[in-house]
Amino acid sequence: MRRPSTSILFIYGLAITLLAFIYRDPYSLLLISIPNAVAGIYLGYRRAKLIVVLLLLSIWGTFLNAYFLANHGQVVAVLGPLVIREGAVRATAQIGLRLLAIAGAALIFIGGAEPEQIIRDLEAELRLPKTITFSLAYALRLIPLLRRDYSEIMFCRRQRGYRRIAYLPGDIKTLLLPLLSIAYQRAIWAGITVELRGFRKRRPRYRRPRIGLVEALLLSWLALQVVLPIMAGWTM
Amino acid sequence: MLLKYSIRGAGYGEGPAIIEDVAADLGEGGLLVLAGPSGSGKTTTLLAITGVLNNLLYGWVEGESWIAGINPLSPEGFDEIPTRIGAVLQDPDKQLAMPTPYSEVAFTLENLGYPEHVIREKTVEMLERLGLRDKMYAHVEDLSGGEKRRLTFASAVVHDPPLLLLDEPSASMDPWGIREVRGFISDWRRRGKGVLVVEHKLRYFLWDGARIQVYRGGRVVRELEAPLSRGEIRFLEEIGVDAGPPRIRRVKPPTGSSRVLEARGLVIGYGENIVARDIDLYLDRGEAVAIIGRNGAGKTTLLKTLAGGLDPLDGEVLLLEEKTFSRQRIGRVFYVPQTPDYLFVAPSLEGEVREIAGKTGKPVDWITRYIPWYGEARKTSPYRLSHGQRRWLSIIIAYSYGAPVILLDEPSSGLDLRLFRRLAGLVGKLRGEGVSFLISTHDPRVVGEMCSRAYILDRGRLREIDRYRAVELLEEEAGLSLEEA
Repeated sequence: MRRPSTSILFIYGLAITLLAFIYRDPYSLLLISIPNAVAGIYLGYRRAKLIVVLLLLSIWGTFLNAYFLANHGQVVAVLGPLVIREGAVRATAQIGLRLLAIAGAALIFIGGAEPEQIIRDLEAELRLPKTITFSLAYALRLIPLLRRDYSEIMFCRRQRGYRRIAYLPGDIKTLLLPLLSIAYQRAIWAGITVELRGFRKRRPRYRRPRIGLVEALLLSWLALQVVLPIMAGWTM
Repeated sequence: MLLKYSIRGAGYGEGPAIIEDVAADLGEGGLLVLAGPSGSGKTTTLLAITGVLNNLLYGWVEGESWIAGINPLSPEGFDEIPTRIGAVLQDPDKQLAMPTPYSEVAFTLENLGYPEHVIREKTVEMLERLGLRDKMYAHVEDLSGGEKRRLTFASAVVHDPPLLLLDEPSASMDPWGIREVRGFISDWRRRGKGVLVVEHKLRYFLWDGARIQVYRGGRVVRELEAPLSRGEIRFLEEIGVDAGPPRIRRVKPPTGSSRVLEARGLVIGYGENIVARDIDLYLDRGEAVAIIGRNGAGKTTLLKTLAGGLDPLDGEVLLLEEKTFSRQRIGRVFYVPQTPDYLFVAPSLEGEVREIAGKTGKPVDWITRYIPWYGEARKTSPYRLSHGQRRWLSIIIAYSYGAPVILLDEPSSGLDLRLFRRLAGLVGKLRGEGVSFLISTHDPRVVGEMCSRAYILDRGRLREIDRYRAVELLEEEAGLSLEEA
């Protein structure tokens, strides 16, 4: 089976992201998060393991945040000195499912799209501004570099006696600081290079998006994720 | 005239002038090299004359610049400049913006509005010419360092511009890659194109007739023409430009010292993929030993295995004469990566030193004693220090952790000769305090001036090589010879 059109994959990912922000009901969130996360990990894990790592870090960060700011209601669990209450669990689940849906959609896009077609298809078929399409294409170029940076930084941190798994805010800072500083430097020079290669002269050539069986299936599945919560009477 | 500029002053933001009174011209088939120590204004000149500084980086430029009939300092001229130049920057990883070689090369032509069938034709032809056709749709991260460098050339010149601008093309290149770059420049000049090179490793670009402008403190202090006299080479080396042949100094081997690191029958690699096998090597206390070899030969994999970052596939590693597991070597055999930024964890140098003190128990004063420029830079982010300072700091971090063995991965990459000599001095000083160094390098100066022994990693095997022969080999592979240089 051929790969789906990059434009349709992009629309799908964008729609799921919007739904993740709109839905509040746990069943609705479960409907969009679990299938998309499973499909996303299946399709995109090999290309973007880092997203899964970042997702886990984000969920852990969400829990810490919820524990300090929304830990009220009935006691759900007691782990030594930690008393976890209903409010913290609910807030973590709600935000965690949203993140899961968004990461799943991102992984489906990364796994399903042909990297070299992204800039051309989104520009030509969806008429997106070149600055957005280039940023997306460049992000895909950056993923393996970030993965390499991440593994180098983790090893350097271990040599310097920092925890192997960064889970406290201080740990996360020592991980993110070099990661972002190096990515920032790289982005500046990449910007200069693409400008010297005529990026500002770039004029897109428009064409209609192609819609075949694969795209129709994907759009139908998206429609179901919109319609099912309404038909089932779940609150948005 | 392909290039003619006369810049009275140029700088970043509203800051002071970084370069002053620089001027040059370049005709068809000509070669102009801007040489000078790090921070002397060479790259700023390149950014100024192409209009990048004032049109993209919010800087300012006073003066004139004309490239093939276009004034790139004006916004209209800057829009047209990509049609007249091909630019290759220092680090391919910072330059390659697309995921595959095909899309990378095609990107330039798409930007410039070529029809689709011409884009396909020219892209395939250029990739074929530079030996990348078979990897047209591979991910750029699966290319070797040399292939990435060739790809940056391909994407810079696929539209056949009259002028090629190269910013430190030898940086991050092994001698085999440098030979390719030299061949490319010769070929380009033969076709009547102009080439402007910014470099502090001048000796790779000294073709007869090449014009050299020597930068110091933001000004052109001398104009020379190749071949250079001994006096000119001496002058250039004194200010930090690598212009003469590498020296082979007598590096005193440690006397009566004990063995600190030893590998026996080591097999290294990733999972099923064996990179090198049957590796036997040793390192004595206070010794500095080089490992040379092509990009991709497995030098970094070997260092990381010795440092405990990767498990060996077979064989054993002894530290202080005791057999060790990988995890037992972490931090005791300290690996300093080629990009020192990976090691930093704090937003300022002061914070970095506090972190080191906190983790090692060493007093702050003890650590700062080894950083002579600490006072002037303590509030600066470690990521904004100069390249030489970042390299320096990374070695001091390793030393502070009390590691008896420090592994340096390409420590001279991006350093001018003056900074290199200071770094060599630091390594010599720490050797005197009993630290041993194993250094992966392509740089004949590292082998000749810092190390007392050398190994070569080639086709999956490691063997000891005479130090003189190692320097000679690195020069030969880059297309030079010790006698000629």
